Amino acid sequence: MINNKFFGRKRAEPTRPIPPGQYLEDGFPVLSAGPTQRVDKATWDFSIEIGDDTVGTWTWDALNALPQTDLHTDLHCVTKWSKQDTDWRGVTIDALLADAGVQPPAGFIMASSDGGYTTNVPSADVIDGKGLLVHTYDGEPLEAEHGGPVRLLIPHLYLWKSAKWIRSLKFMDKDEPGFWERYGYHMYGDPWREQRYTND
Amino acid sequence: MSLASTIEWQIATVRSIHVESPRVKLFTLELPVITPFRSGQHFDVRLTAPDGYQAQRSYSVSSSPEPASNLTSIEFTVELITDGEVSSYFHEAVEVGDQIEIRGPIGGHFTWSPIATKPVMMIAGGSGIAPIMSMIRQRSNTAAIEKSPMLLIFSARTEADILFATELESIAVNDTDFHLLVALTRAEEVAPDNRPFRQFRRIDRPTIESELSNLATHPSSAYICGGSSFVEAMANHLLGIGMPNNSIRTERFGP
Repeated sequence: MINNKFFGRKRAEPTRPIPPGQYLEDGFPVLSAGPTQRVDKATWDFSIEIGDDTVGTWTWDALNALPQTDLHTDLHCVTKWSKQDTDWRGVTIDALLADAGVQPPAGFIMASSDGGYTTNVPSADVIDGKGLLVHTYDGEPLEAEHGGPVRLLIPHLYLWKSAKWIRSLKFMDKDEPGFWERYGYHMYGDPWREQRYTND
Repeated sequence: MSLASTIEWQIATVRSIHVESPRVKLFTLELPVITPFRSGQHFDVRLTAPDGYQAQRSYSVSSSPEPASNLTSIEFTVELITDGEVSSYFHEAVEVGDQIEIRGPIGGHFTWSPIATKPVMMIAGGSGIAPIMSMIRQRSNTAAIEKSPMLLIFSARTEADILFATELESIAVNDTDFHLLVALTRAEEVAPDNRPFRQFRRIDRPTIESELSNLATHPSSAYICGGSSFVEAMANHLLGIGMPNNSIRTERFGP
């Protein structure tokens, strides 16, 4: 339906198109379901599990010793804001799997974070350079409010899939809902298909 | 929990508009179908301009979800945001009788149920009171004999900015298990007896500790809603006084 008295605010033209229902945001909003986690890099580690087996564990130093990847990308949050031209540095999931000496399994992953947050994505969406563990934003250490010291980044999906304060990825044969997915958010979350909520 | 159904867009009709404060209006929206919802949930609004441009935003419901059987409308609490294309449409263009596309209810973490009788603490900043108001109203109109003790600490700039002031004070006066403190951050101090339930400084850790000391039992969970930096500060206070991380639910808005 048309709202005849609505014209929208003329905003800066996006550098590239943004997904339907999104608006451009210059700031970097913080949206978390609970308190900001304060994670100590000295005790932080990250694990990859395949089924019940832990195939690799990395400390902060070990993560930084792996090949580093720079990514220039746009972010899309299900709460309707998009932020263009963000710069990240981190380690691809491919590099972690290679370091562990394992082939990426088919199926799905569950990402788990400090504070109990979880989110699910297909394995295919974190390999071939599509998913990274990032520790640097815009040339600076990633702030705790934005998920630092290390968060997952899967920028082609809505940002709730990019779990803050990441601690593990578990590869699974079957898809399972994570934290927001259990509350009715979409299992996949493609912003270009506006998959905000279940069955969108 | 059923994950089966799609959340469909509906056309809501604006039935009333109330000026609640200089920056906040309340909109009563009548809906063809209201899926039973939980206090704290939100709806999405979709506006479409004559040239096809669309904008979506989320608004928390501030009315009670009960009694669910004969609900025909929900209330949105809309703060006018500088340069906000949707909030300015609500504030400057919407009239009673207008129609607006909405869908919901959405969200399930920042929700509360009157079935829980454990004491609960709410901390709200400005229009962050909206989802918490739904919880407070649900608690007030529930038929339960034993209502959970509830503490609300509510930050507002000045007296005129206190949303739902009369209603909150009335509940606080009449219900000994509902505790209220309004923290005015930009108001001149007046004698405490003139204005009950007030403090004239921002919410700090002593504020929270002092309010908790008035309760027989400490709250086992907390809900914080407001702007990002406000929520961050409040969550840190609660962690600082020893509340467990997983007992604190937050909802943040604004960059």
